[in-house]
Amino acid sequence: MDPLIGMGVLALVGAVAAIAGYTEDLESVVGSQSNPNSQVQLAPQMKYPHRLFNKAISGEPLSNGLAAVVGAVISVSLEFYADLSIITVIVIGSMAAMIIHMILAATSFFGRIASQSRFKQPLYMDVFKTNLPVIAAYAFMTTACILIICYLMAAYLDIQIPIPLLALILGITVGSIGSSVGDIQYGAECLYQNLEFGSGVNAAYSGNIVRKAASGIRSGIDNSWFSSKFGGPTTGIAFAAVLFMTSWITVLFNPAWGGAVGWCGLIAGVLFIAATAAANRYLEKSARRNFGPYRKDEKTEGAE
Amino acid sequence: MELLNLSVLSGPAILFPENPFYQLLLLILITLGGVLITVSVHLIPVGGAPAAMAQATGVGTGTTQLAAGAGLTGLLVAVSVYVLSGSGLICVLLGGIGSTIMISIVMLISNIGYIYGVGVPPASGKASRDPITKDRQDTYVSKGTEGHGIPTAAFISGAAGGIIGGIGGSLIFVVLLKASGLSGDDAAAILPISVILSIALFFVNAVIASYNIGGTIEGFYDPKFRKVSKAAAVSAVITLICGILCLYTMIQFGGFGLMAG
Amino acid sequence: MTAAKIQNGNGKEDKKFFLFEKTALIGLVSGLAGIYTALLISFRSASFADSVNTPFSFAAGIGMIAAIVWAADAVRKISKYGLGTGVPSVGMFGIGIACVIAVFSVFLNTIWSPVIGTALALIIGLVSGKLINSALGMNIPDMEKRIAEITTGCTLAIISSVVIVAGTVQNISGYEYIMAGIVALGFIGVAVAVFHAYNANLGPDEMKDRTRMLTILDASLLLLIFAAAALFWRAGQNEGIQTIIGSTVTIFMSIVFIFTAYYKFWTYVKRDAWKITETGLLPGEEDLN
Repeated sequence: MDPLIGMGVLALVGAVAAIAGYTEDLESVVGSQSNPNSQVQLAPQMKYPHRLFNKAISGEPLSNGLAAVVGAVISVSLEFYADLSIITVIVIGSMAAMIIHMILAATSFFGRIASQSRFKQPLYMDVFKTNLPVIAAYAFMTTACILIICYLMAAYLDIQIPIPLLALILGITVGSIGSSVGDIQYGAECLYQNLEFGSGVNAAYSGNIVRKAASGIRSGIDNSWFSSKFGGPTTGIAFAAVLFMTSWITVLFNPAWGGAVGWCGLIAGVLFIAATAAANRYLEKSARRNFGPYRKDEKTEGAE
Repeated sequence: MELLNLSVLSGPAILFPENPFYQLLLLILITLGGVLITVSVHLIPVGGAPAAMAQATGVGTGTTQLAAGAGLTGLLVAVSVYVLSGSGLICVLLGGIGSTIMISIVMLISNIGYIYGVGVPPASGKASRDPITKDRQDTYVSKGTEGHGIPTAAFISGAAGGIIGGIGGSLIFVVLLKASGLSGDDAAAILPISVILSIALFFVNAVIASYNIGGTIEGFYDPKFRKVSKAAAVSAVITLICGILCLYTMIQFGGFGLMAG
Repeated sequence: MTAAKIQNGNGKEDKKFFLFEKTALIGLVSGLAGIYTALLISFRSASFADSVNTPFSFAAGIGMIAAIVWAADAVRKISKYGLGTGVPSVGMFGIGIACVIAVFSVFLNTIWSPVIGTALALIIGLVSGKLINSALGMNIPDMEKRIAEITTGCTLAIISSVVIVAGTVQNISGYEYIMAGIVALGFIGVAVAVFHAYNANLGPDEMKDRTRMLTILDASLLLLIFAAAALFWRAGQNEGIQTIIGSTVTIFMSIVFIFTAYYKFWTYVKRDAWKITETGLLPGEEDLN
């Protein structure tokens, strides 16, 4: 394959991946999925009933993996059946995945709220009706982007994995990145805006989540507005960077050109990892310098 | 050396399929891959749900999920390298690199989230001084938490975990593919079976490791890391049992793929 | 006696071998019966190699639902003890082993593949559960039995999905199932169907009947996707009328199951929820005390 086309496909994959990461994170934020869900789940027990959408399908990797695989299986089998354009099958597959995701999200919401009846958490139907379409839209976008990446990779980057299997891998990866990167701002900042900025959430405040929005009572949509400013974009950057950097090694240093080129790719990868470690060290030092320590006692030194 | 596709070297006889102990060697390599995955999960700093609230050091997600995301990214790279070059060794190594790239990017951007999104400096709750940079940690831990972010020692540990886990996953993939007895384009044609079996074995080993550490760990300096040998032993036994089934399947599948293709 | 009761969590079941408990028996027997009913038609010819695709794939679908309900029940029993890593992890462990065993048993290429797969899954599940429980110090009562149940249920579900999609359990059907990538749906779909119901109903007021109804709903959704994939795939390859009949019947059956299960789930939610309100403010102080 022409390296120039490879780079072009790679750029497209990166761009689509950025959208996929962004929508994936916002989808999980609207439904309070993944790790911050523990706080939303805890809140009624601590006498803080809320109007958030409590959607615990599973961890993000598995639910996104399922959505991507359902979309991919429907798309691929439709392709077997009829001679449709790829865009059409991707849209139909993503619709199927979206419907499955909606049913799973709705039943999770009902189930979790019904299982908290002793804490007197009401089941608000208007929350359900306003938040579910947002979840569905984001789920559709994420699945469609994952499928586009799958088809691009299968067609141009010469990966001989069937598309559903590729969708499983990419779906789990995007979910795993979304749950590690994007949820930090949601869990530590968005749910706890009532605590002062610049500190982790004290374990004593667990469950004391913010329940008021700028106007009215907070629901998942207000949370997605908050997270769309930082958590979503960082997730998008992370997923795009992962796909771009991992494919870049094999496109620019294509091992098919000879063993030595493959070793060059290895060296380039090691250099990139060293660069991220250095950047992390710089970030750590600058944060410590600018924020300063929380307390000044020297007594704990050496006590360990 | 048929196994590593390094035709320049003439290795010991066991590396050739004609040798009666060849299958045994493959089985040992699969088991090694499983053990490497288990060890790697112990090295990756994961804080579980508390880390998402900046209450614990590490990446804010579940152990299994982060390890699976990293391992599958590595597997994807390994597959594409195998298809392009057909070389086992470079495929395994680049699989490890791909996995590490994923985990490094996740840790770096998580730290950006912690520092600029939440406003906390990275600090470890388990060590009073960072084992690598010797920075003070305990004074930077905010009140009521057990640390937050990914300090340098945890970052290095995570990168090491990524490379080990990626190598483990890719090793299982390559060895299973070699077990089919096919090579070149024939082997590339039947790689889906090898991919799904390595994904399955990856999840099994990641769950074993995450049960051992109870869901959270900071890295090699965490006291929980000392329990790694138990998990490695359990993982070796379970991967060995599954490896026998996988090898049989691959041998059957190889014959079938040759017939179909 | 009391100690045994406490350890088993339920006094009634402490004497029985775990496979003779009601859920386990139903799951095992109807799972295998479903698969073999579907396969019967393909064995009418003299040799196994000549067997044809089954039009009775809906029977395998019912077997799949029963197997998933069994595994989900085991997930519910084991997760009550708190695994430390969330509910999905145990499902992923089960599905990992189940996937290996199911693929292996399909490639044995005999009529007895489902039985061999079940037996292997029980044995490997018991061994690995015992190892994890004792060597890693989990100390969860009956963990090995529950892991064996999850593994076996997942294995039966994957083998049923092979029958639904590819018609038989010959190695050719396994080959097509994997090479088309539908094995990915067998992997993650069965896993989510097994653990989603308990995860979605987690909480102090979790009810057994509600969780089980949600499991049936999840399993029927999965069945619908499998049947739709089978229909498109088979019809696209012109594989004869019997597979198309089988897939169509399965699709209609699963849609009926989905609506029934959803309706029943919703009645259970209405029964269990503290208050269902169209809209409203947060409950006040006097309500909470």
